[in-house]
Amino acid sequence: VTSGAAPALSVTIDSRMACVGPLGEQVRTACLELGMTAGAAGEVELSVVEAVNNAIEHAYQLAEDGRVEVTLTRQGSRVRIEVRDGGRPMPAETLARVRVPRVDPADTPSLPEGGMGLYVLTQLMDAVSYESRAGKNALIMERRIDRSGPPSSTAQPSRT
Amino acid sequence: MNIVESNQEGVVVLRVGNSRIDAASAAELRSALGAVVDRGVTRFVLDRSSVDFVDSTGLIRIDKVVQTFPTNREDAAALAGGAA
Repeated sequence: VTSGAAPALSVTIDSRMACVGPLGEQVRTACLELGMTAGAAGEVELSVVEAVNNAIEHAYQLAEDGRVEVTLTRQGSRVRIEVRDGGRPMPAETLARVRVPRVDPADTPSLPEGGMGLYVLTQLMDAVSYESRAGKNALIMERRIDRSGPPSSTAQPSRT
Repeated sequence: MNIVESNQEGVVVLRVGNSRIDAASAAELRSALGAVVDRGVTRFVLDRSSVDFVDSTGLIRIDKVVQTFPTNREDAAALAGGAA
């Protein structure tokens, strides 16, 4: 959108969990068509699914009459993915405060109920940012197309 | 969520028919696994060979069922978390 390049994928879904799976598969296919490895495409798919799940669960509070828009655009050697919603904005500093979820198999319950999705996508992406203006929210993620292994450094979250 | 139960050499095997365990299907999986646990089954194999996608919601739901096991929790955790 910012570069003027036509998106490789632009999809708008209703804010229903049942719509997320088919969207995820479209994202994976688009990444493969951009030349990503299967592993990298799967990591982008997972990141987008986590972002869209968050939009539905937190921004729309599971109300099913909202819309979530996902665009995937090639920008040189990177792919840029924007996940937009019109629900409640994510509280300030949420992204900056993302940390490793506490997981202790000897403890009950071992996995936290929330906070996993943002952690996952910040680990898999090269850059993650969030903006909210005039009732429109956007989580913006970037990933190098040719990277199939772990990132050289963790994505630096930022909020504008 | 399509789950097929079989008994192979005395072990309950639950084969997940869906290719995705995600926010849309996880509640159903949790309830299906919970029904098995409620029958007193404490050892089973969750066959995820058809599953190619699990999101964090799906993982958490599986974990919640594992945590209800009174015994053999480590065994169950290993089975549920094993590589697909």
